Amino acid sequence: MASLARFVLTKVFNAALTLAVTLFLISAIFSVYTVVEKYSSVREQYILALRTLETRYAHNPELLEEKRQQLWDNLLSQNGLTGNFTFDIINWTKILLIRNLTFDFGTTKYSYIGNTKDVGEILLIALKNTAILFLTATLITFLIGIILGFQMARKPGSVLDRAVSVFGMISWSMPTWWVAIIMLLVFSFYLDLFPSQAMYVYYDLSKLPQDLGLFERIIAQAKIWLYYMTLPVATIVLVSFGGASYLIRNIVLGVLQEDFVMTARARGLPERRVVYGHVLRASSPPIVTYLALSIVGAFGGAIITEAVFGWPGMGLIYWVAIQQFDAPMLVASTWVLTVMFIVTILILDFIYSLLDPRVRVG
Amino acid sequence: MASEVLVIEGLKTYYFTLKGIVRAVDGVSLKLRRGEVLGLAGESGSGKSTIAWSILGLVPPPGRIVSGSIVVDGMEVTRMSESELRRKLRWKKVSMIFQGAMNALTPVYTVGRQIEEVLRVHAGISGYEARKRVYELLESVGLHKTIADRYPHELSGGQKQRVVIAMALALEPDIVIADEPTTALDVVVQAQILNLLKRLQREKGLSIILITHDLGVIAELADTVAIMYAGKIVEYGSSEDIYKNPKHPYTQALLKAIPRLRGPVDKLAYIPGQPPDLRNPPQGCRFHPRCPLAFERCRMNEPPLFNLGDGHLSACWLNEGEA
Amino acid sequence: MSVTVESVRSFWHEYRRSKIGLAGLFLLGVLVLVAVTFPVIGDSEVIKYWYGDLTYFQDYPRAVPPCWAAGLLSDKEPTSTIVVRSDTDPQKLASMLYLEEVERGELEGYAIVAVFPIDGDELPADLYMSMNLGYEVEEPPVAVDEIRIEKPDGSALVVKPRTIIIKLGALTQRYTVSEIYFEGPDGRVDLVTVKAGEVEPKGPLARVLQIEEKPASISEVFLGYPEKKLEGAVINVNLRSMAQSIATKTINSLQALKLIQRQFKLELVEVDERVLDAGIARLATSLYNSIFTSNIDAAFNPEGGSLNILKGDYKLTIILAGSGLKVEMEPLKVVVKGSCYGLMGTDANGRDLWQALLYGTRWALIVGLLTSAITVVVGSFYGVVAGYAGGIVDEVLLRIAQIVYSLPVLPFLILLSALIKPSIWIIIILIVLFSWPGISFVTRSMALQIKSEPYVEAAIASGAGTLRILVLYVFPQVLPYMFASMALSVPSAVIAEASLSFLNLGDPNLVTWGKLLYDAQNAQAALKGYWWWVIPPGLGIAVVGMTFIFIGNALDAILNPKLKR
Repeated sequence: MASLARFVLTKVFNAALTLAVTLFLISAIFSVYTVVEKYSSVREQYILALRTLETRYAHNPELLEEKRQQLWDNLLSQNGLTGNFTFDIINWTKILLIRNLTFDFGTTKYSYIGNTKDVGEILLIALKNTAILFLTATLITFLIGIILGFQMARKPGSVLDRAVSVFGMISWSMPTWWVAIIMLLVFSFYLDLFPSQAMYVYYDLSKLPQDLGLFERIIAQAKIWLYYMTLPVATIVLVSFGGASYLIRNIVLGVLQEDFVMTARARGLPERRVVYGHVLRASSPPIVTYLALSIVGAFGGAIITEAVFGWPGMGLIYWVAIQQFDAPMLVASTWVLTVMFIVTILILDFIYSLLDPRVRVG
Repeated sequence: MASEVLVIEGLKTYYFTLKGIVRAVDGVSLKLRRGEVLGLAGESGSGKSTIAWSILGLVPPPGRIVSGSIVVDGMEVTRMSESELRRKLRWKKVSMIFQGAMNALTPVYTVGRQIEEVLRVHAGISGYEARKRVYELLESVGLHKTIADRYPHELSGGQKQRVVIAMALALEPDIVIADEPTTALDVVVQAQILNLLKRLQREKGLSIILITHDLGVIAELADTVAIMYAGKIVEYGSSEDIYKNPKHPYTQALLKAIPRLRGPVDKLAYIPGQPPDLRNPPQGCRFHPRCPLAFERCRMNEPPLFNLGDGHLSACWLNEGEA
Repeated sequence: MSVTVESVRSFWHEYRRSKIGLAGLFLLGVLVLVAVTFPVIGDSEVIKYWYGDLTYFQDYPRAVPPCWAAGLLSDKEPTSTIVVRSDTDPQKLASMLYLEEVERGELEGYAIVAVFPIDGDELPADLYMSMNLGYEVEEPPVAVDEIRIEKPDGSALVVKPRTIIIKLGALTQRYTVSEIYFEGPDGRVDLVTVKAGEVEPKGPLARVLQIEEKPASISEVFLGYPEKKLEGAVINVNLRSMAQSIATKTINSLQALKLIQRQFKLELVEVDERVLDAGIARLATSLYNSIFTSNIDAAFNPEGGSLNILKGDYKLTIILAGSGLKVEMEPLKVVVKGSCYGLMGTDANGRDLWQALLYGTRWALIVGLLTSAITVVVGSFYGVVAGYAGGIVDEVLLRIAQIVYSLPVLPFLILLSALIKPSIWIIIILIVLFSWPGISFVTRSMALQIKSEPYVEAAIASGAGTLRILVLYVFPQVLPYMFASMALSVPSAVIAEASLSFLNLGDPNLVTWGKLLYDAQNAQAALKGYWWWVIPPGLGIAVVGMTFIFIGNALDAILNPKLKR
């Protein structure tokens, strides 16, 4: 359908625009930061070296002047600077723009995950792990939210409705990463059921004996994953499902009051069809929107939660990068994260358009 | 009698709200014969739609049928369970043509699919068979079969109304209730829909209850007319009797309020006051506060429906003598 | 629609019907009260020194739970932390830390006596005293004759520091070994006995080897103290480090003496097995533990059973002796660092967490309210202007808002905070920078809808200017929604700031709940079970959030009756 294509194209264009703006902003900000740093480091080196020069050429002021200028120029060119502040910033911004665009991030001198120092590889591993955790948690939250939300909407004011609504309100004001700490306290310290550092999942996985049959291997791997993933996933689900249920409940409640629900019943359709066919289907576009929004909101908290559990994902990268003050890593992470983020939202927008025929009108 | 497809006797449907009991239908009796078009007229809030929902057993909470009987083709609706209503009554025996302005069609399914659904659930027809039938139905209401793949929001008001009509006729029900079928449509489309309804009624011998506040529409289609006021029927008779010889002051006022194209230019006649609060209707005759002909007795006692002969009934003390 | 007394009253009437809304208001009242009255109900000094001079907190035990709770979770009674200072309670101090003259044969002797009350079943973290000490002796050195700790049950741990001087030919070596024994109702238990004094080298050895035993001098026991004269100086003595130094010196000397003993086949020192087993690693702890229990085996062997701490007064006596000795002592402080402290316990630096909890309320409220207020005002204005202006202006403004809206907030906040290292005010601005689009979409739609209303068209037709229309027609309808929005966006603002603080990217000078959690995470508090450190700050954040969600929910219900069913 032409209008669908146009819709998708608009969304893609918007996403591309956002990415472009973000790319520019990140590159510009980091460029300013880098240039400022470089200048101050140049200045430091200059002052240090100056003393040696001054003692050596104390007798010859002209030569000293020449050498001084040479020193300054050398230091500048060594660091990729020209001495013109504005020009340097623009120059660096261009360089960074290209680097970010091509995902060429170079290497880092700190150690993160895996045995590599290549930033690109590190981020890939981290992203994969974050995706596994976050997607699983979001899926589970979503399912629980739909089931509970529907039940709550069908019997508004019931005990279930009120209890879950209040729970949703309370859990929405709690930072996910704090709940994570509490979970560690309860399950790792007091009950000793789960591990405290999730990053050992790969270590354990690698310790599996090589000669297991395929089926056994899958089971064993699944068990290891489960062991390490349960607490983080449970934390995210615990914090999110209340709010999700409440919001879905409101959406469904709104839909239930629409005329077409009553007319569907008038047509003698079984209640099951009305609810799981018409109502569910009509609720799904706003639910998808809500899903997109909640991913937007919960994402940051989930990242930090990862760090608390030591899950080898983006959260850990951020935590370590902040501690070590590895600014290039932070910039690369933010850029990659933003790209993933915007692409995900784009996909959700696309799903939305598939679900709601009303938006496809040109 | 076998020719009576619907008999309503003393129906009372109340809404039990937090602010009081709204007596939307307060003792209404009606009969509908096979092939007859009964027009049910009245102001908004007079309880017309509630009667429609009562017949389908779909009065929305906090409403409930309190007493009375509704017999559709031998089945007592008030005593049927929800699943019985669904399987035996709704859409098979009684279907409804909804207001076009209503969001009557589910926005996320195509129109064709929604009609198919009804066929599938009730008649077990699906696939190719169902598709064929859907096209037939659409054509019978004057729509091209490509409409079947459209979504409701892609159709105009008139097209949507036709779809609703097609859907109502899908299972060839005994009774069709048309609830404000032309309201919110522009005048040209109104005329088209009315003509369509007339044709279908003639062709298929449909028994229709036509609910509307527009007396002009009733005049076009109805054989018999019932005038409702404040939850009660105040006048009942053949279309001709009602229009030529209205006996109840309310009916008379309604007819007078229709502006005429020809004739001397007069002040616009209207009925003063507001329809009563159905939680607390006036004592005696419910119309008496607004009635220009009201007298002492009207305030004290509620008049019954007097039989004025030839099936013409009127609930006014002034008609007592003619009964 | 104007804001009149009538409308306010009816609004309040509506609001009152919401139980949740009232709960929110109540909580808000409590929070504001705490935030405002902190200077009165809290201890501002604690906050002042929080990032400053940490020695302010040296008297307090580290990472201990609050006293009221410690008793609940285990069946052992907690040991209270007691701090008695000369500036706050001189009389009590005088009874707990004093100087006595004692008989020491021909020498003058002085005893520094300190009394430590232990009221619980838990081992105290440390015992500690501070005094102003001065001494002078005619014939140096000043010797430490005895260190005795009397336990509440009458038994005692006695340490007699001795110096063994071994002259082998021209070489002279000094070894400091302490005699350590327990005096109890069942008699004496010796751990280390110095026999060097009784040893007489025989035969040819006697000519080259000379062994002497003397009480250790003060500089051999307490490193760095002058042997002859000390002008008044502030001295801190704590039991754990005393035990540590005694243990270290003893073990080291024992190692050295072992060789000599073997070489010359002399028994200079008799050592109990338990001391040798313990070694340097555990001797200090074992000695410290043995002070507080009558079950000495348990003190030296972790599997020997539970310690059974004795409750009551412990008396520490340090006896200095010397020829013509004169000692002056002015007590300054006596501290029992118990196993619990205060209302909310302490963190790894001994800082009182209750104070931080109270103080954090202030900033949580400020950040939350300010951020959401600015966000909502800015966003609403933006949306209304865009919606009302229409056309290309609307397009552009809408596009900008959409772009900002689709950025992941926290990663950006983290990046910016890491690079800029902002103060709390900059943080507020940064959070606003990412939050404003949300509400602008809604107010934009509102403005669009109102713009097409007939009464606005009429107003325009009759010549009303844009500003007038905005003020008279648009904003009064947008205002109630702004309030509800403001309340509902506080929780996310508070969490955003807390998240930054948790990552140590917040304002480095402020004591906020997020920062407390950062410290906790660094100290691995959750994995060590320090629940009092880990639960309250997050709970505070949650309570602040809940308060505003409740209020916002009530406001929303009034404005959006569709959902009230």
